[in-house]
Amino acid sequence: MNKQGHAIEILLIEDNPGDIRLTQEALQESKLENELKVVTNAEDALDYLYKRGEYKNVLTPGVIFMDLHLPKKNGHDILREIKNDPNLKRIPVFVLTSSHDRNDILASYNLNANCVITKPMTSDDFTKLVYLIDEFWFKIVQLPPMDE
Amino acid sequence: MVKKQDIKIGIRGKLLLVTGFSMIVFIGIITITNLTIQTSIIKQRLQTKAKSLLSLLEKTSVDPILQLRIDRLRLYLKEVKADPEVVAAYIYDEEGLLLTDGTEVNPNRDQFPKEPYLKKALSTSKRTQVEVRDKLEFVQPIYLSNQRVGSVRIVFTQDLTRKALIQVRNRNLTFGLIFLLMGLVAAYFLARVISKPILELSEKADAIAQGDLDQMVFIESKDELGVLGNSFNQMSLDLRKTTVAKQYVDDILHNMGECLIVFDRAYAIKTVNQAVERLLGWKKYQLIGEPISKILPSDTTLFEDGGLEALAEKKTVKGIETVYRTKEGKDVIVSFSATVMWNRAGKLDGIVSIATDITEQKKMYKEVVDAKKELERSNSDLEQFAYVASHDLQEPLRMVSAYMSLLDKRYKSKLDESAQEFIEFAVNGAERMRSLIQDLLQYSRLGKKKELAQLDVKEATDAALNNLTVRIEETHAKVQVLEMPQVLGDKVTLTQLFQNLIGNALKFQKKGTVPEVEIKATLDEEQSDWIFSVRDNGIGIEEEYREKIFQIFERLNARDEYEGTGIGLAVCKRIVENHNGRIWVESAYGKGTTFYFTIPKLGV
Repeated sequence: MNKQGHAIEILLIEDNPGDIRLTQEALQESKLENELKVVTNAEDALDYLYKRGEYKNVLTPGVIFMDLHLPKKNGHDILREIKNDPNLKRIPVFVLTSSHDRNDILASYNLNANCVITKPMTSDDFTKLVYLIDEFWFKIVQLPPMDE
Repeated sequence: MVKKQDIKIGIRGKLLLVTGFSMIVFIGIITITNLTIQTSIIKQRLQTKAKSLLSLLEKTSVDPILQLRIDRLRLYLKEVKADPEVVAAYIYDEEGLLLTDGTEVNPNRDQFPKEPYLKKALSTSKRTQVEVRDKLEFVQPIYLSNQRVGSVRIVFTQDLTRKALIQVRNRNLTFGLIFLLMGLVAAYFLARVISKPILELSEKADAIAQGDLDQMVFIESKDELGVLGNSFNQMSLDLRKTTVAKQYVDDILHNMGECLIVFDRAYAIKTVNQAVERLLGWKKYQLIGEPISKILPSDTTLFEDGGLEALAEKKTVKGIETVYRTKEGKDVIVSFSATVMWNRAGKLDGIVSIATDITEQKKMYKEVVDAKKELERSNSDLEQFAYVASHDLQEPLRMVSAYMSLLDKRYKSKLDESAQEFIEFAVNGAERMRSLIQDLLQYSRLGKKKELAQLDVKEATDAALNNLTVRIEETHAKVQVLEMPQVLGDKVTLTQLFQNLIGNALKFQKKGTVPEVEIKATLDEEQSDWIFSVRDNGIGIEEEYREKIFQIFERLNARDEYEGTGIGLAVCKRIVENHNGRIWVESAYGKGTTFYFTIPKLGV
């Protein structure tokens, strides 16, 4: 349970099934009350966020986990679009990357990513990461009020 | 100008003519004078002779005339006529009638002489001298105490005189002829003596005019001709010197590889050298007098920007890149330099220009630029590759290690010991691959040269030591940093450099040894570079590996002894090279290692 008493709506933008599964596993292991929604490319991600087409009835996510390396449009493009949209820009975006590349990290922060996280190598680290995110982002941080 | 073929009478002929003519005149005058003198001498002699004969007859004839002793008178006349010069002798009475002519025939006494001169002579009271044709006549009146009694007349022939004169003349002419011949011979030799050196001079001067400057005359006579010869030789020498000097300069201009063009004030071509002909294909005569635009098609504004005076102000233009147009209309890229030319009067005379064909250099330059671009492109490709590879390689690796660990966690109880060991190897392998990839990525990023800025190296060493705090504490290492200079550098990579080197110093130690590291900077001998050194008391490096260690992923030690990917020193080398320095190592195996690297001193 988070502070608001709702299950938190998490949108994962990730094309790698392995990472999707790892995320799911880690979230399951954690005590975080969550609804994980997954899209695997940028177009779907934007359709989801703008509630277009098949995503007409989805809820606006409370946080977004996103991979930088996506097919077609890359993660930075989505990030730019989210952070330039008056309604979406308040949503915390966690950029997940598999590299330590300085330029990637700098570019993400310059586009107002809320945090950049290197994807952990082991499942334990993954679980630990999810735990820490839960502890910090959902227990300490005041997230923007959810849509009713 | 008189040419050789125009000469009608040479010096020799003239000398002979003058000499001959003078001598003929001279001989003529001498002969005539001689004849005149001789004539008067002979006449005088004749007169003297006549006078004495007449005087004698005058005295002796008085009485016989008065007495009419014709026979006596005839006798006297006969005696007179005995003289070979006397052709006739007459005695007349007081009235002028002939008394006798010395012959036995008695003259007609009634007849007076008819010749008027005779009549006149017979009537005068003085002696008369008359020249009748070739004869000389004398008439002497005879007086007896103022009473004229008669006249004597003697006729002399002048034949003898004439003969004598002819003799004299002939003799004179003979001698004259001999003199003339001798004179001509002498004149001929004189003419030879004078004309020979003159002719020689003339011939040599002719040869010089033909271009053969190697001419000398040898005149030994110590007179004006000798002086003339010397002057000629001096002149010939001087001429040779100046001509040789001029030829030398001409040869230089002719043979130089650069295109030399001289323009006049109106930008018309005045002079070109052979290089111009070769480069542009024009012949010299096709360019002289032509406007500059004939060969400088596009860039005649070269001087028009202020014109000649502006160029004069600047004195010279150097290495302007422009084009010359060839005869075929092809453009040749040249490096053009020009300077104004002042004449002796101190006025702007024109422009001297030099141009060098730089087509080849331009081509080579382009090749170098292209090669550099190609290199940059391939470098950037490589970086791109390294980046992509490391990203894309990370993903599957992560999958391996993440799911291996998940497997381990979830199914540990169901797996035996070997299976767990296998999982551990797989996880370690993936982990190691990850660090290799990360190092590779870091190394590839160093390929990009960073902007260098002035910084205190102390900042970099401090940052490096700060990053190594944990390790230093763990090993209880003694790290000493001496005074550090300011250099042009990049703080992030310099920190990395020191971190790697100090890190190595801490790492490559025998177990139980307390690491001692000293970092210092000194100037090199030329005072142009800082030499930084990082000295340790570690295990050292065998000599044969001292080059190899700077290669990427080279390791000298077993992984279980000293961990690492082997990229650290390759990274160091790149960083030093990015700082325009070099890196090397000195080591006493087993006793310690010192790494050195250089960075240029500020302002050098």
